[in-house]
Amino acid sequence: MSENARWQSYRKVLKDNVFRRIQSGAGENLDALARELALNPSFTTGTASFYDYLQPENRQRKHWVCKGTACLVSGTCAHAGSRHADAGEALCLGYCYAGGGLLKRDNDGFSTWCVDAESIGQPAMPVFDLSSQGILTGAVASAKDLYSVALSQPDSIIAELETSALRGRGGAGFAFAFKLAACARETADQKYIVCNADEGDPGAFSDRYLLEQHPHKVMAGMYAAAIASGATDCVLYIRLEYPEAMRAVQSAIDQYRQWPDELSGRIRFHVTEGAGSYVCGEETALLNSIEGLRPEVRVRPPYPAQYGLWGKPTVVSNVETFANIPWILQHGGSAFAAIGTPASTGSKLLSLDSQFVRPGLYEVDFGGNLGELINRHAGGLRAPVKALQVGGPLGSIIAIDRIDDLTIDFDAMRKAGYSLGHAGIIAIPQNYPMIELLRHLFAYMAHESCGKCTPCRVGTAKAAAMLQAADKQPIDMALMNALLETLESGSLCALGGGLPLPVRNCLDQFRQELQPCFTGWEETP
Amino acid sequence: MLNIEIDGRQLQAEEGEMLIEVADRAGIYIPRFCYHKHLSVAANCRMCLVEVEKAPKPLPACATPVTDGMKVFSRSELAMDAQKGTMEFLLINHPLDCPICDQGGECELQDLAVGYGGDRSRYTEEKRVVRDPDLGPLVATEMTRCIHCTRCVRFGQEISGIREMGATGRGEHTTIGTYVQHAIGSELSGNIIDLCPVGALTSKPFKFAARSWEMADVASVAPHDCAGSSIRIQTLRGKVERVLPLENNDINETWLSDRDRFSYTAVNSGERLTVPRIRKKGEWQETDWATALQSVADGLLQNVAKQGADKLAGIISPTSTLEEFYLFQKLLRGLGSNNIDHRLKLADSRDDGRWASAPALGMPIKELESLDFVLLIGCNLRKEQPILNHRLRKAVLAGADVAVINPYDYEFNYPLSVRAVSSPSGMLQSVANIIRLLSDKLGHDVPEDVIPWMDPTRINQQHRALADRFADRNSKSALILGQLAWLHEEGAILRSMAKTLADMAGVSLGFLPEANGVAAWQAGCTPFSEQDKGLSVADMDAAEIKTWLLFGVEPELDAAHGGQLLAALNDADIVVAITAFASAGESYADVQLPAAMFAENAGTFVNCEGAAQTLSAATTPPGDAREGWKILRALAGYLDLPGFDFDTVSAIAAAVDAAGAPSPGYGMGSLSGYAKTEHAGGENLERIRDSLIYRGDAILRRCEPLQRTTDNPPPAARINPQQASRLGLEQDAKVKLMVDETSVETPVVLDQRVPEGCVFLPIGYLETAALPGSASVRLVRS
Repeated sequence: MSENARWQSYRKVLKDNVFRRIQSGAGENLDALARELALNPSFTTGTASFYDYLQPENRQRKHWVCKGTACLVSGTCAHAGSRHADAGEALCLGYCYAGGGLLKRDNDGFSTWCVDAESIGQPAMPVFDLSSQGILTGAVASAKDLYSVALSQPDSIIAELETSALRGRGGAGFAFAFKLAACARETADQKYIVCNADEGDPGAFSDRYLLEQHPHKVMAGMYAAAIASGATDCVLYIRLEYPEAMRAVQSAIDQYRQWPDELSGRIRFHVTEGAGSYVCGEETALLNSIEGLRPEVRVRPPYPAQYGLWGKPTVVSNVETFANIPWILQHGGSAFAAIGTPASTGSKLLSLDSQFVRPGLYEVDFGGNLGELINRHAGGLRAPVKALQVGGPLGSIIAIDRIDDLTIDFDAMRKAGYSLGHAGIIAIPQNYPMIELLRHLFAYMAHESCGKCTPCRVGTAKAAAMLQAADKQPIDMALMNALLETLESGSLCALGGGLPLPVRNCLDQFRQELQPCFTGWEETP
Repeated sequence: MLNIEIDGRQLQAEEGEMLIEVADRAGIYIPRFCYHKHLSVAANCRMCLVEVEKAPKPLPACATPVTDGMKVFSRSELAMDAQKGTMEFLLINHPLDCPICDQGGECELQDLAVGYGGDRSRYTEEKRVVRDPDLGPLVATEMTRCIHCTRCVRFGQEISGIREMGATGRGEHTTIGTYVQHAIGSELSGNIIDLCPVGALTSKPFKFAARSWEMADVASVAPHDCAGSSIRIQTLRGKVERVLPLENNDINETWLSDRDRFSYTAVNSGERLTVPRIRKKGEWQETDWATALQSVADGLLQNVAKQGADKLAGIISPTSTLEEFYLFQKLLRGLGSNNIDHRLKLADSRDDGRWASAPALGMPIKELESLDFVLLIGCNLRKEQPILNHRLRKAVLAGADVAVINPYDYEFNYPLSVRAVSSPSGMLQSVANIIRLLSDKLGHDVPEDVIPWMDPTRINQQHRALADRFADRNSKSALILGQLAWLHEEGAILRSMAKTLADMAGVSLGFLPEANGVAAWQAGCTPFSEQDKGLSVADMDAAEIKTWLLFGVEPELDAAHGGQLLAALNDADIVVAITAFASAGESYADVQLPAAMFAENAGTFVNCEGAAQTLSAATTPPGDAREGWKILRALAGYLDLPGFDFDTVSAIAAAVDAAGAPSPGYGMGSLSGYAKTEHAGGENLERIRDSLIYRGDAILRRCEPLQRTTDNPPPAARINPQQASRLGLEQDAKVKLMVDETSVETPVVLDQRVPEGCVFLPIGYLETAALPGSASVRLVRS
């Protein structure tokens, strides 16, 4: 779409990033900024109006309380909210394991804090390695080695990744080597590797963990992808809600820059900070965001591998995906492929929220049993729970009595009618009404929809309004089904297209509870 | 070629084509809102979802590239369910206000709702309401109706080059509007009315005037731009209500300039002259045609007999038809006068003898897109010829260079590779310097006749860049002279140099005619087309012309030398004005004959590439007004002139020797006999003369909506701020502009775009019309 603006933005590229300028310029004179950047005012205003933290009411704020799904269903945000009457809402700060989070802005910038009824602090994230190799959580002996292993085998990187059968960890589970090879095949004066560190799925804190504790694993993975595809610039798009991750990555980049030229001279790293928008986790919206355009989802084809950041061939993948790559290159693709199941190789990070007896981050090999993880390793639940939300708002809702039948594996979950998604796991307490969860899901998606395509823009908001009124005016089930159908088949991206799955999970498994809010249920199959 | 199947039909497609393009070509209609063949693919409305074999979900036909062997079902159950689902969603927020919506009857949403929508809504919640931005006098907004197809946004980004419409907010709160509350400044803005598939953007002048189905529709040609855009004129009970573009891929594609879209509003102007009028003892008296024509004939014959035919002159508007041009010159020549012209913007006629044929673009309009390099001299193409500019913009987006040598730093909607802005005399020096540099580069002798205008000490980077570009023989280049070159006081020198430069570089040389100017040349409405040379419009004032025949013109406002012509007209014995407007020539005419205007008369329009097209009458002229050709024919009868026995316009056209497309026939570039003029400094400023987009002729000045746009500023003398401070003038200071004994008063506007030593003072304003056209004016505080 905005070819001109994209070109103007490209001229400034990452040095004087247009998006960064708009973020710092919001609230001041956006017209003047537009003139300075030689762009139309429409451009700066249109972009700034999109993001949560650039809204007028958020510019003066100092506190935001986490209202992510975990905090919402466990009720902790009510406590946190009582401490800061003027606080805004943050959508998941990744403190799900501790039961409540607070985002603070002071002279040093943003910081996040854990909040519970008694105290405010920053307790360490509990980490449990149940995997065979500890690929993701294991300690790193030498950060430099993570990079040099790629440098020593530039021509075999793609082949090793193909052998490893590494799948993207962002949710869709797409074969990573395929994307990388497609980008490598393109000829262009410039290519980019982009790390999607905009983990917006409430309930998942695995990316936060990796960025804060193992930034070099992630960066080295990007580095290898850059070498394999011929890219020279790597960009990490980190959400604003993870300021500590931002600082950790910054200092890792500083460290990287100190290294000898033969190691760090070829590939440059950059970071872009988000400004509060869940849809930026969608890869094409994320690219638009870095460019300073409105982060609306792009039409595919062309795919990012052909037409990505500033129209250049680009590999976009998730934090956890990249973090696997150094291990694969160190131990070989087949060693990786031997872990897990044939379809889902390697290990996976799972985030368990505060209602489990042992909440925290778990690394498990693919193929394990979900019930066993929860009941044995996580010690079960603190209070009665009726369902688990797995994989965030676009993941799935699993009735608690079904968890023993489920294998931690992309395809097995899919086959059972669920989705693993980003593997954040939130327990829904027995006393939490499912209708509230449905309201939350739709309200959240209506808030986060980019508004570009009709089904998602209209459907999410409409369903949210209908659910809000459902106590007094029960929803016709046939109409709900039609709405979900249009949302699923017509939406441009997974935001609208993925929402019907967890909603149907709820409707199917909690029919009895939801019955009073719907009519005509009997007639529908 | 790929083979695909849509709804069971075997079709061929090109690699990279989208499904919807193939379907459209085959006449298989797939419903859509956001898709438009001249805009980028947005795929946001999701109306064109179709079933594709092996695809798990329905796919948008507008964004799905064809693959070999693809099987597509546009009306299968899956496809129809998806399309109906989208339609139901679109109607959730769309108001059911069709009875009071101007789009009713030609609304894509309404039409598709009939095919895909239910008869009642299953959703009962409140609809969303959106505030309306004020887009100025041409486009009415009702953004609550907006379905977010973003065609208007993409039009701004991709076609008009001015991103005025855009989205703010996100999700359901996304609204389409302008960012800064102001009227749109694009000369193509009316196109967003056509693009809008619903009634969110409608025509303001047409608001609540008629329903699309009750109007009669006539295909015609737009009379103002020299492009000759294809249009539809729509009338209700004989009143012209609207003009729309008609698709013509050789000329205007699906677009239309605002000037050609809204100039119909003058047809319904309250100033229309409906009865012949004669001035008797200073008072206008209405009369019948016989009396009026008899009195005109008597007056003309008496004066010619008394003073000689060389004291008779005729000026005709370039928006007239080929047939009117032909009869007009035939009548004057019949009376013995060759003082005939249509070139009102011509300031310098010294090169009249050099024209071999009509000034024209020199290539098909479409070909502008394929140029690699274009130098515009004295040309604000964006406002002069918006449709041509759009073609050139496409070339630029495809990598072409466009450079300008202009006397004012006009804003273009694409980047210029060289922006050489200097005083009118400086323009001559620039071209001369480029000729010098190019001669050196090519190893030619420097043309001696150009030497006086060269100044090697003032050769700059811009001149070098242009010479380098012209030296590149692998480029497809063109040099085009625009309206400001016609209005240039030393235009003959500029044209001659341009010819020398074009010949030296071996590139195409084009001139932009005004409106139907090419037809005027073909029909002989120039003072030199036949045996004897007459006076050009630039010289008529000095020849003590006592008898004037004016056809559709207001020379004091239309002409480069309007001040001189006004004085001459005030001084004349007889001024006969054949005009559509009572106010035209009201102060100096002796007889006014009410004429039809475009949309009321048939005839031939020849555009700047030489293509002849037919103008159609969509309605009849008001009252006793008559088509111009009929008036001229009748007048010839009263004058007893032979050879006017035409009964139809086609009979006249057949009589015009208009064989073949004219090439820009400028004989030779030589400056022998021309002297270099020195321009004095101080209070004497060089005058930059322009004719603004909506002030160029009598019709435009009576288009009320166009007059209220931002392209029609109040009269002012624009000068450079540094210049102003040296002269001790501040913004809005009242100044006196003087040429010899004549002076006019106007406020000063400080404008960085005006070069130093100059004053930018356009023609076409009554307030400053008395000022004679000249190279320089004296400017003092009043």
